This record gives sequence, C-alpha cells and structure tokens, in this order.
Amino acid sequence: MRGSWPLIPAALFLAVAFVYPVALLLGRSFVGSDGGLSAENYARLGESTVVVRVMLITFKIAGWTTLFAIIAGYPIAYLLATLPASRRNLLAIFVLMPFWTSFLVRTFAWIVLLGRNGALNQLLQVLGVSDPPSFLYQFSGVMIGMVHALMPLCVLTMLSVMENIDKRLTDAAGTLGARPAAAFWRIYFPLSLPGAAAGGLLVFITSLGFFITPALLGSERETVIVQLVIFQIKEMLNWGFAGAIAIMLLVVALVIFYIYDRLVGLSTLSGGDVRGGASSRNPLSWLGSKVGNLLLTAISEVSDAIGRALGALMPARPDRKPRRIGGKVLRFVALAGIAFLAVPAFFVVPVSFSESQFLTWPPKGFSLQWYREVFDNPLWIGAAWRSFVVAFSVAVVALMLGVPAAFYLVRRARRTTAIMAFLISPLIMPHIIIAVALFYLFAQIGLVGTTIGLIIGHTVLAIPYVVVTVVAVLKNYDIRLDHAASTLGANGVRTFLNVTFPLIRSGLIAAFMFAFIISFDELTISLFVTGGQVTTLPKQMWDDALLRVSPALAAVATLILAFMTAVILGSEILRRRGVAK
Amino acid sequence: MKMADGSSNSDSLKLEVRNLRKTFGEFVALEGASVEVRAGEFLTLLGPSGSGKTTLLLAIAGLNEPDSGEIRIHGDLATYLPPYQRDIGMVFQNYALFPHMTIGENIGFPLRMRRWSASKIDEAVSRILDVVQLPGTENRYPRQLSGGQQQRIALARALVYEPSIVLMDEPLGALDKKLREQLQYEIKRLHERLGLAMLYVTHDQEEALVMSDRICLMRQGRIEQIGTPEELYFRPKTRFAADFLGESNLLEGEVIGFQDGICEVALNDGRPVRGPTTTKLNVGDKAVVMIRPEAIRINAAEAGANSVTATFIEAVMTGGTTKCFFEGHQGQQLKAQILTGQPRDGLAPNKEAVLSWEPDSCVVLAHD
Repeated sequence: MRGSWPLIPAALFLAVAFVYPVALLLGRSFVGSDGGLSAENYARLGESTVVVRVMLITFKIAGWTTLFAIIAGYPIAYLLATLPASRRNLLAIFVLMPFWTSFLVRTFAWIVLLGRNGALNQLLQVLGVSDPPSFLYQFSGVMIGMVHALMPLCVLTMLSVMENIDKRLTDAAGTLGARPAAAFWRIYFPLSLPGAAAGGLLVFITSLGFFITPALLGSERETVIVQLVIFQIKEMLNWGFAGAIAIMLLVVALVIFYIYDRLVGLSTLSGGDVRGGASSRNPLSWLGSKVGNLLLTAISEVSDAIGRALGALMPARPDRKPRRIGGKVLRFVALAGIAFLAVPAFFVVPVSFSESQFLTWPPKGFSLQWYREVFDNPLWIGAAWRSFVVAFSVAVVALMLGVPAAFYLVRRARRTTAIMAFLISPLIMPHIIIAVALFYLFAQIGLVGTTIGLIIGHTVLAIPYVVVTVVAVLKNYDIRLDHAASTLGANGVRTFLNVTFPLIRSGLIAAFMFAFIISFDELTISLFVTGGQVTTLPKQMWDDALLRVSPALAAVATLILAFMTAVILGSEILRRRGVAK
Repeated sequence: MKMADGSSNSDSLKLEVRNLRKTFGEFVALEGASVEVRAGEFLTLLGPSGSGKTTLLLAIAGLNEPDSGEIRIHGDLATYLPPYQRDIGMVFQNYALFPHMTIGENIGFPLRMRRWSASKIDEAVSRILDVVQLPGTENRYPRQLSGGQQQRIALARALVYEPSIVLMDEPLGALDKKLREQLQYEIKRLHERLGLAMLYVTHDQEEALVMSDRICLMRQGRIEQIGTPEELYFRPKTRFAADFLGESNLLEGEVIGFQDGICEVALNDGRPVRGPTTTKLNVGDKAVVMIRPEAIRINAAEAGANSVTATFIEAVMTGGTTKCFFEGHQGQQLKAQILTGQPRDGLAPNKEAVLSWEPDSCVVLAHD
C-alpha cells in the first residue's frame, strides 16, 4: 500500500485501542471458571432468566424508542428538508439542542418535568386532569427520555436522505394529476424510506447500549442489559460472564446491520443512494418491496379518497388563493416536535436557583446556595477541570489521527467503503462493549484511573465523528483549486497552508467541536476506565444522582448548559468568520 | 372537447394569460405579462435568466401563485387551481422522472391518477413509447437510460394523457449540443404530428428560432415582443430584441425625415441612411439603425443602397461563414458575415472599405 501513510496512525490507533481490546474480551468470554477454554459463560446466558428477561426489556425499550423517534422525527425532518437553507439552519440548532446539552443535564430536566409534582403534572392539574399519573420511574418516563435523547439522531439521518430528494418530483406528480396525498405516499415517502430505515437502525443500535435514561428515569423493571454488564463487573467481578453478555449484544448489533445491509444498503447511513437493482435480486427484499408497495397503494388510496371527499366539500376555487391547511398542520406538528426537543433542558435553570432542599416545581425563592456549594466542593472543580483537559486533548488527538485518514479516504483510497466502515466502526458499536473491553485491557497495563486512559478511550469514540465530518467537507472541496495552486508555483505545503486549509477550516472546527463534546459528555467509558479513582464531570453527576437528585445537580447542569452554549456560539462565530473570508 | 358556443376564438385558445403579476418580496418577477397559445401552436418564452419566463411557466402549471392576473386553460379559469386539477402536461428541466419507478410506471403514473384500467394503461404506455421511439423500455429504470432517452421518457409522460397544453421548462438544457439539436427537431416533428399546443421555455435564441411558431421575448418580468421568428429577427421593435436575437450592428443617429413610410436617419458621422421602422418615431428623435451582419455587402455598393465607410480589421472563419470586423466612425465596431470562400475584393487590413445594405434589410429603432 504505497502512499497510504496518512491512514496508518488512525488505523494503528483503532487496532490497538479498539479492535485488540474487543478481541481480548471476546477471548476472555470463552474462559471458564476453572481457567480453561469453555463455553460455560454462554451456556449461562441461556439459563439465566434474568439475562433473558433483561434482554427482552432492552429490546422492547429499543424497539419502541425507534418507532416513536421515526414517527415523531419524520415531520420534523420533512419540514427542515423543505425549508430554505437559512431557516433550516436556525431550526436545526434547536433540533440539535439535545445533542449539545449533556445526557445527564437532559435527564435531570426530565426528572424536574415528569415527577409526581413535576411541571407536567401541575400543568395537567391546571387543565383539569385530577390525580394525573406519575410518569417518572416507569416505562413511560424511560420512553420520553429515550425518544428525546435519540430523536435528533433520527431526524438528522432522515434529513440527509430527504435533502437529496428532488423537490421537483412532487411538483411533477402534481402536474401529472396527483393530489398532494397521492404525491406524498407514492413519490416522496418511498424515496424517503431509506432515510427512515437508516435513522431507525442508528436509534435502535444506540438504544441497545443505553443505560443512563432507564437507570435514572425508570424503575427496577426497566433494567437494561448494560446495567447488567456493569453489575456483573462492579459487583460480581465476573469478567467472563460480563464479556459474554457484551459479546451477545455485539452479535445482535452485527446481525441487525447485516439484515439492514441486505435490505437497504449501508451507504444510506451516510446519505447515499439506495442501492439500485439489488432489491429485485434479493428474495427477502423483493417480498418486502411487494408488501410495501401494496401497503403504500392502500394508504395512498385511502388518503386520496379523503382528499377527494374534502375536495368535494370545499372545491378548490380557481379565482382565489388556496388556504393551505395541510401545510399549517404539518408545520404545527413539526414545531411541536422541535419544542419537545429544545425546551426541556432549560427547566434545570430555574430549579438551580431554588431555596428548597429538593427538586421541586415551581422552584421556591431565589438563592445561589447551590452554586456556592458546587464551587466550594473540590470534587466538582477537579472533575470539571479533568473533563475539560480530557475533552481538549481528545479533540486534538482525534483531529491529528482523523484528518489525514479523511484526506486519504477522499483523495487516494480505492476500497473506500471498507476503510470507511473500519474507521467509523466504533460509532456503531454499543459503547458498553468498548468500555468493558478497554477496562479489561487497561487493568492489565495499569492505565485504569489515569487521564491518559480516559483520553485513549474517548478518542476511540471521537475518531468516527472527525472522519465523517472531514470527509463530508473534503467531498465538497474542489481539488482543482489545489491543482491550480500547484500550477501557479505553490509546493505541497504552501498549497495546503494557503489554499486548502483556509477553505476547510470551518469543517475542521466542526470536527474539533464534535470530538470535544463527545468526550465532555461521555459517561460509559469514563465509568469503567476511571476505576473510581479519578472522576469526570458526567461521572461525578452520575454518582451524585444515584445517591440523591438535589438542586446542586441542577446548578452543575445549568453551568454545563451555559458552558456548552458558549462553546457552540464561539465555534459558530469562528466558523462564520472563516466562511465570510 | 367543449361544445362550440359560437365563440370559436375562445375554443381554439388553449391558454390565455392576462396581466399576470408576481413578486418575491421586493423583487418583481412578472409585471403584467399577457400571452396566448392557440391550438396546435408552438410558443416559446425566450429571455435572459431572471427575465421571468420560468416564473410565468410555473404560474401556468400551478406551481406558484401569482399576485394578480388571470390564467385560462382551454377557456376555463385556472389562476389558483392546484396543478392536479389543471389540464396540463409539464416537462421539467432535469426531467423529474421518479427514480423508484420503472419507465412503464412513470408513464403510467398520470393514467393511474386518472383511474384508467390496467390494460388501457399498458396499451397507452406502449403506444406512446413507440411515438418517442423507445419501444420495449417499460421495465427499465430511469437511471439505466441516457440523458437523451430520459428526456424522451419525460416527454412521453407529459403527452400520454393528451393534455390541453404541454409546458416545457428548458428541457434540453442538460444535454450536449449535438444531442440537443437532434432532439429539437424531434420535438418539433412530434409537435407537428400530434398537433399539440406547446409552451416552451429557453434562454437559447437559436433553439427558439428553430422550434417556434411564435416567440415571446421577455425582459425583466415584462413581455418585450411577441411574433414569429421572422418578425423577431428581421423586424425587432426594440434595441433589446435586436440585440438578444442573433447578431446585429447598431448605428446611432437622428431621425431627419420620413418618405413613403420609410425613415431617414442621419448617422453620427452625418451620413444619411434609410430604412423602415417598427416604432413611433418623430423627426429629431435619437434613433438606432440595426443591420444584420449577413445583410452587409463589402465594396459592392449599388444605387439606392445605404452605405458607410469603415476600416477593415480582420476576418475570422467560423466554419461555413466568415466574419469580417471593421472599425467605423468614432471607433464604432461593425461586422459583416459572408460565406467562407467568397472573394473579398480589395479587403486588406487597415484599408478603408465601403459597407452597404438594402434599406429593406435594416430597421430603425428608438434609441432608448
């Protein structure tokens, strides 16, 4: 592989810090209690009713989350895809709100909102619902929290597909005699389906590895598989069994990816085209498309009949501008969805200034006591400082590894799909597996509880984001500009510094931000790798929350919210300035 | 078909647009545009980008809402009707073929929307595929066809249900020159064969000249001139029309008199020339005399012809014809077009030549 040196650092890093530990864990899961080679851990998986039950709960939660995320996310993605770019970008910031506000901040916000005397129930009482049910600490609470957390991912994935659907196709259907409903169900919807499938896939896989929301918003009955892994390692010290559970999760994830690839094609995950022609050759998807076609025709006929009936009641007037009721309904639904995503996080702010000892709504009085408590506590200050150092280092390292790899991928590589799949594989791996595997490796070489260990772990997660972001930027970069620079007498280094870099700078800033936020917000790997010796901000919040959810946590959450907003705004200003030049 | 109600005029009008106005915020895209398309007529909207031709077409298709004005399709008011209730067919610039449907499903789509039976649909699809000379492609997907083939399928899809009028938005814009020319003739032949009313949008003046029965020249949201290609080419009414269609020499001067409807103009160098005019001009008005390069003869002035003297600069061979460039009074650029290989008597660089033309072959326009 001549000239593949830009890929080597990233590949080597992932091989050592990702593939090797996971392989090691896989091996460990085959070691029995007597130290010999054995499948007893896997035999135990089937025997243990707890594992089976928890697995089923995990699938149930992931399945429902996926369904709700697609249904609620679809109108939002549709609205964003049809808006002009300037307004789309503004709304996208709100959609991404849950992305920027840390997982824990959001979860606390839901505790404030959903409690028995939370904001939601008080609203319901005002509206006349007597004795409203508590949403907290049960399935509905978990559902709300999970959908809220994962819907942005779903929206963005669907959006990337919808943006590539030519708006003219719906117009064309209209001129050919299709009512809006028929045009949507027969033209737009089938074309957007790969986006919904890709979004659903990502949400499902991510849900499988989720534990923060079920743990904080659910009860015993909503225990998920990851919590079982944590329990096996932290309490039982049963590595082999924990490894077996983790591997089982991995196998499930891979099987789902395989089926998805056969049905839709993995390239849709990055907004690519639906694989052409394959559908007719593959019997499984042939059947799927036949059934789907029938279903779509049925839906289309029904909605068309409704449209006709409405049209007969209120015929379109040729002499007056039509009232677009459908468009208004869509906008209302989508904006309600966006409000659901953007608003909750802000509920932690008033609570943090409360005089009360508990998370109550509405907050009583005004006091800075909780901020004082946080700032006086060296534990919080130390955790914040470490989080910042780790996140900054991760961003730098991930950029140094990921950017050359992205250049290689776009400009030189031949087997791009395989290389890309390898580089982004940590993204599709449930985090818990990486966490357990790294913990296992680090325990043997003394990296547990070190800042270096944390940086390595987070960098594994950050590299895919950096690669994807930079690849997207480079694909839009006109390489002829580099060629022009070199014909004008610039050597390779000068070309990069004076032409390439200024033009891709905003993309690099975005990649840096992604890496920073991924690390700053990361809990799963931190939970294991810190080994209880050092702590990061999310881990400190998690430990505190398990003991007691106090307004002090709301204060920390508010501070993180403010910090994140400042960081986002700062990078946006930097980026804009880069673009303006 | 509608019953003849005595006004045969309205029955033969497939499209009437009256005083259409459309603004996008501050920008006025259409300012009182009126145009008619008769049965069997091929009308082209021609104009530079931003002249409002696509806005007008989309308003007719029902894909944007005009602020005021009236659109009638086959006599029926349709100004604000949704596209699916208009009796139109439209061919889009990028074809807008549905990528997830086969060619057969694409062409059958408008028929399914009109609730035709499956057997009738199959029959109609295969018939129209014969017409566009792509028989047997029913089961292929759009992406498996070339650009030119996709264009024909898009056309077939808009024709298959025999709408009152077919709208085409720069349908050949994405094709290379050779294929474009071939398809121009094909569409024209198809139009003649099927006797359809067509409204065609293009910014390519050559395309407009080749294909149209009439051309509607647009400029800044207004209609500059409507007429046959010959009228627009030989008798433009404005300087813009003269300049936009084909090449032209524009000589400035002042109107000094009229004789038998022929206008006399003193050019800036004092030399008098004569020519017909298409606008209202008075003695003393500033005017422009427009002469097509191919109307100019070099060093062959005959009695009664207009003539000027100019210095020969160079000749450029462009294939079948050769362009000769001259510099006239006050650096005025002049060009003449002759057949390549024609003798060029006494033409030498930096030497004076006499350029002449028949009064009939030029037009006197307002200076504006």
